[in-house]
Amino acid sequence: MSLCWSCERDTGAGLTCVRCGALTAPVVGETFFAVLGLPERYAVDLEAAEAGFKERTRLVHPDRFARADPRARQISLRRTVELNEAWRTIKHPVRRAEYLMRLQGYDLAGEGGPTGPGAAGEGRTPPVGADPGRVRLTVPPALLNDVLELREALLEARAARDAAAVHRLGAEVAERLREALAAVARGLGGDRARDSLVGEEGDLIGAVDFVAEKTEKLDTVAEKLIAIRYYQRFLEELEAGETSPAAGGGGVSADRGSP
Amino acid sequence: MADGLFQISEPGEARARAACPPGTTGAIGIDLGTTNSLVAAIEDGRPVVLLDEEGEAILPSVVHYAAPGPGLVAAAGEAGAGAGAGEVVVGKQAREVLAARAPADTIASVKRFMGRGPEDAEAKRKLTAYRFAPGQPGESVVRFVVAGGTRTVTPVEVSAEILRALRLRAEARLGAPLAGAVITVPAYFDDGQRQATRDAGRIAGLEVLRLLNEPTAAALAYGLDKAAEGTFAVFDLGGGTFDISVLKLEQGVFEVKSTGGDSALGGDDFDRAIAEHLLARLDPGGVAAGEAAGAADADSPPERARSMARWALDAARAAKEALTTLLVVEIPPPPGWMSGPGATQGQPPPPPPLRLAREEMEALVRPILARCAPAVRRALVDAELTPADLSGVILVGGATRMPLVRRFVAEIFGREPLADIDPDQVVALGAAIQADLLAGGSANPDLVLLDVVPLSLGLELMGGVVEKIIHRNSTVPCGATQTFTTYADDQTGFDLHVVQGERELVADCRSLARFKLTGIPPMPAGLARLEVTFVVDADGILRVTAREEATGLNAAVQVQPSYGLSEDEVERMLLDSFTHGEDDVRQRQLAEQRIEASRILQALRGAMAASPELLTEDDRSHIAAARVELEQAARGEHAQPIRQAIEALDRASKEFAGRRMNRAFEEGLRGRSLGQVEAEMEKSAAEGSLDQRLARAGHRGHSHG
Repeated sequence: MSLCWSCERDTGAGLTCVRCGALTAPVVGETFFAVLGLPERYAVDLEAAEAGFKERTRLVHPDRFARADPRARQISLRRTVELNEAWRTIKHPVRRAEYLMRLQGYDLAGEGGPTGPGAAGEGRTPPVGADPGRVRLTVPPALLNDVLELREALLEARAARDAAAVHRLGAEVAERLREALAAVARGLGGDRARDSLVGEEGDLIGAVDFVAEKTEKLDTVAEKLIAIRYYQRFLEELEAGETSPAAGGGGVSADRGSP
Repeated sequence: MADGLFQISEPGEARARAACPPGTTGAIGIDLGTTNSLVAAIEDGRPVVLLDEEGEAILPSVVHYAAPGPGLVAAAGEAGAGAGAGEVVVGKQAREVLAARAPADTIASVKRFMGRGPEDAEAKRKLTAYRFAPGQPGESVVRFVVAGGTRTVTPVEVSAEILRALRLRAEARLGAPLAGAVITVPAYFDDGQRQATRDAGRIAGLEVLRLLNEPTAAALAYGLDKAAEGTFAVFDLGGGTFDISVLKLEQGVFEVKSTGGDSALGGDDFDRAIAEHLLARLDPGGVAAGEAAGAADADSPPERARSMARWALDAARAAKEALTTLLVVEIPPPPGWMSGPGATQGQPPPPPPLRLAREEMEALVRPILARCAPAVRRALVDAELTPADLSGVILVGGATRMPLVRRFVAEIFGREPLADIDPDQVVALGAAIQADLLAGGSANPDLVLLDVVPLSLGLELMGGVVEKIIHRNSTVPCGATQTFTTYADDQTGFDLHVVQGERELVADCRSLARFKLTGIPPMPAGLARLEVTFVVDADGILRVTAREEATGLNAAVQVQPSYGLSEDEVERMLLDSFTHGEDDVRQRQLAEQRIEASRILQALRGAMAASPELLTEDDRSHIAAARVELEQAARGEHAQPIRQAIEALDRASKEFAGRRMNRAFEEGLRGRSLGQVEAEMEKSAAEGSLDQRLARAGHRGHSHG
């Protein structure tokens, strides 16, 4: 039970206080799925979710509180910030997968990828790596090799001004990204069904097997997600090089990406 | 009592509210443009642009600061009795008369300097008519030297003068105080430019309800006007900025999908290219061009060079506009120009006018226009769309009138653009819609606007690398928290540098703010945990807070904008603005009395039409005379005569009003029990004077027949 900041009574569970109609403060620890009123799973009906996001936005958006009491404005801001962050995460297939993995104890944010602590090793204020107690993963050497080769091919194609080769590389990496994402969706999609199966049968041995199997499955998903980060990064660079040839960003990033 | 009779507001209505004409919330939308500015409001459910006393919608964004002594302003003739030394003149007169006579004291296109430092390209341009105050070490704001060298002003103060003029215009129409204002900014404006715009609004005495992105405002005006649904691209090419936005309009939700552009690309750049061409043609030896270029050199103020620059820029703008409809224009050479400074011997014939063909002009403009293309492609990629997915392309900004620009847009999007709302007004109209919404108006109660962050926001890491914390095109308001740690053993502080931009290296991004968090106890590297939170509010303005978790050290961080004004400076300017306060009060009183007069005249007309049988011949002639007097007074510039004329009219209509009151009272009694009447009279005694009750009864009687 939480008390309403405005009428100081129990607010109920909604976005607005059941008693006085004031906006309720964000709930600490609520997942992005809960913020959007969605079940916690990978498969999402995006159209319905978007409609729900917009409906909630109508209730809490600062436009509704432009001339309201400062506390109401503050809560409206916090609620809308939370809602926007939740929707940004959930609507994107990769961010959604990463978020689900984080809920499972995998910290992929900043893990191994070129934007992570590897790159920030010499940083003045490097981002903290994994939280204590979280699963840390190492980047598979095969993937690193792969990406290095792709980068070299890109640099060569650019140096030779071979637009067709650059385009081919882009198409190849985009295809790999699609495959990896499909694997992620499969890996995350199966879990729920097995969870409920185990729950119903109460089969302890099966459950132990399942835990081991699940861990293995999630490890695979995590690996795929790390690969996806590298692919995305590669495609971003490729695109940046195309839209602004004078930017010179490609070379700099390539240097940074080399471990 | 002067206002006993025709005061027809309902009980309990606030004075401010009562001063508003019906059908408006008194909230305004302002398009603060590089070249021109406008103000609009909702009246009777529709957005309308508010006109000045001469019926002009557009206020040129030009501010003149008169030099002390017998000023140009008075010499310019049209300024009226009060204008003179030390005066600030905003708008048409500043552009048309004063810019030519005192180019350095007349600031145009000030928007290009908003939130910019002396090191920015804009302040270092060669072809300029302004004098800049020499930058002090650590100085972060551009300062213009104006008023004949006696005063320095910042871009924020100059913008505030424009906003103040628009505020007074709106108050004359809607009554004071206003319920608040929405000011538009280019979507591509960075944090410093937004802060500067908000500060200018405050200094101008406006309650800034929201900063709204210009393309979003334009789409708002179109979307509501056409009840259109679908995905639109807004191509906004104004005097100084280029914006491209992709918006989805669906069931009253306006969602910005992506935005991009260039905050230093616009029609002014076309003018500059044309101006340079004209100078080169006028004087192939390059003497004039060299002189004009020398204008930036503040050590030896070459007044002649500045006026050459001004002539070239004005001629270029006029030629560009004329070539929208004409194929060729003739440009007279500058007054006194004798085909070269050396040609002083004898009396050479005046040089022939310069001929400029549309094709020539387009060849000069095309390379600059081409700079729009990458931003358009990127905005489409960010929105995950192709040109074929769009339902339409909306044109905004004066520069989109150019046939070349329309061809360019048609080509890049593969379709003809829409331009059926005046591209000069569409932004102000959209801002008025949003202002009405924020002020609680009922014109479009269900509308929700979801705008985005134009540029990524991040922190500098060691080695000059940027860690992005909020990504470009995130829906606002938004926020994110990122945890950092110490790099060295026994590090006791963090140096935080907030930057904005898409590039990897700090050097390529715009610096927004720096702050320190100190007092962390010495620990081995990597043990401290610094939580940095970025929050971007609905105006697109960033707030950064930092907290060290291990020690619970909650730093009260003072975010100091790297470019822009400190809070102290804004306070000082607010105080300065009170020196103009008397003038404002006078204007406000005048506006209030005018509104009062028009309301009373209207109420009187209504009453006379409703009960002609209660008017004697004497009444008619007295009232008619007093009415004419009031109408005349209301056209004047002073509040006091209007007030007196209102009182005179009140006296002249007193007997007529008394008869109406009596009849209304009798009608009110008829058909009701004595008990009801007594109860009502007791109630009215408790609420206010019987006179007031009766006056209201009279009003009701009239409105029902």
